[in-house]
Amino acid sequence: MSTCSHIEPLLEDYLDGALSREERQVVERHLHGCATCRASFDALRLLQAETTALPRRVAPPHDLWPTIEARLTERAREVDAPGLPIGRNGQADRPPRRSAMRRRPARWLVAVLAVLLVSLGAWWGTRVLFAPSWEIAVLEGVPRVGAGLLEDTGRLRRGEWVETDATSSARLEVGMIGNVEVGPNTRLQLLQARPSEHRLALTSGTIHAQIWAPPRLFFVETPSALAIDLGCEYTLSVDSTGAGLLHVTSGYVALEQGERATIVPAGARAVTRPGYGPGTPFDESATPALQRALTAFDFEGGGTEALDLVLAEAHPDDAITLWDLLYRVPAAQQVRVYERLAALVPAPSGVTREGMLREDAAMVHAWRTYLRLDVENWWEF
Amino acid sequence: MEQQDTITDPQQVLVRRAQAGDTAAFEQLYRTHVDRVYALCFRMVADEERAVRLTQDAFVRAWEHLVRFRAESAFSTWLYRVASNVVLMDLRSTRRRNARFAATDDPTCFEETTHAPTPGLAMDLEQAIAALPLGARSVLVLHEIEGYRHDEIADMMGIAAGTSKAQLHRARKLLKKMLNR
Repeated sequence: MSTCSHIEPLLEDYLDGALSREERQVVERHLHGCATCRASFDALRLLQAETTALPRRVAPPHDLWPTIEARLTERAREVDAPGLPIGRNGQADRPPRRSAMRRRPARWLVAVLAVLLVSLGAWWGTRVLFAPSWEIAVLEGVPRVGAGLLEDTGRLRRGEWVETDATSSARLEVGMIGNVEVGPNTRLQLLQARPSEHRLALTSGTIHAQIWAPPRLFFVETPSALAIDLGCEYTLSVDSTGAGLLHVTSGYVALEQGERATIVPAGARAVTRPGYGPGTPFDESATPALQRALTAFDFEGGGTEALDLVLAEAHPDDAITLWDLLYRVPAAQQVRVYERLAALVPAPSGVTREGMLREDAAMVHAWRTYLRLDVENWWEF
Repeated sequence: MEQQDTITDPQQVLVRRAQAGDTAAFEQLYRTHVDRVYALCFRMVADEERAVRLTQDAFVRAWEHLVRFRAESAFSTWLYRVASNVVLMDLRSTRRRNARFAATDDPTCFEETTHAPTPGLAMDLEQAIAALPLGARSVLVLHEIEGYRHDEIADMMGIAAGTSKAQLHRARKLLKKMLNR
């Protein structure tokens, strides 16, 4: 005979129809003979019935369409060439972009290419022609996509490059998980387009990524770091030397290069340099002096002198910077970094300096949670 | 015969027209679905002004991504998924922004409850849902009201399916307590 303590944890799964047939029978037998558990289950069932019976429709306080329509019009102006109208007269004034590469080969050329294609065999066809691809659309100008020029929309296949000049930009759909706007003067390559791995290489220029997906599905390789999406929105730029600047506006991004790794939360930035990897993240409100001191510390061998400047310049919003430095500075400097951090942001209850310096797992976790850097559990609140 | 000529479902006709850039058709879709989208947004964020903004965001995003809708699922299903993603993204970014390094060691200061319950007073169910912590409320609304499975919620929220179940359990427990049951 099963006990109440054995049955109680199963009641919700029973309610949700998530039990196996055998488990279901055990629960039903128990409920038949136990008034206490039956009352508990009835309360659960009533609550669920009331919740699922709540009205599916709630009218907004006012008509939202005028604002939405104005935004659609504004969006159309941003996307289309100046002068293209958007109307509400039932006509397709702004049709969605469809594939239309500028270079359209003549029929005889198509025939010759078809013969060549067949002769190349299934391997080539599988690897190149049917390679995974993402939709790409022009935002401005005429970007180059693969070997052709993109006039409207097209597909970017695995291995192909997007190249924009000073007057062009494009919008790339990242599978089903988000999009990337490719800014002017940018070179970007699609490296992988699988549902479990979306990977780009940014060699120069600027992209703005919006990703709606669980962490670690979207990656951007740069010459100085790998940017790993942890569910976020961000802008990433790479200059001609391969140095990068990441600005996260929502969620988190991990930056990795070799053994160096850091997490950049929303509202923070980080610089990356070839040969060094990612620098220390800093809040977008960080003073220029603090940013200069960080550059010296991270990339120019600034040592203790640079660290002194960072600590002197730090404000409460710079806790992210001090947190990142805490376990990167030499042991002799850790006390100073921790003291400054704890002075700016009161330590969580139960956390001691000694515990933090010996990297007590529970205390480190408490600090990370407190600073909202507990990325893996950021929905558990 | 082209596929377009075979479509007789008025909803699908509107979707096709909207995909071709017809904002009047999209307005009709808006009129049909806005109450469902607003209800979802309002229950998730428990704030009228924010729900209005998110409802607008959801329809703008749906318009932007309409060409990707392939009619493999109902338009309504697709639209509510878009709306759910818009709300979840907003919750994530807002939570992050609001929580930045507050000078306090009280961990409960981050328990976002928009409409705090008044002790001793019985609450109706809508009020109680609005008073739930954000994570529990999000899962409850998506599971119980919108009908998503735990694995779907896990995908949308970037959490484990077990966490989604735990949040639902937490939500039910808190609701029972708030409703004095």
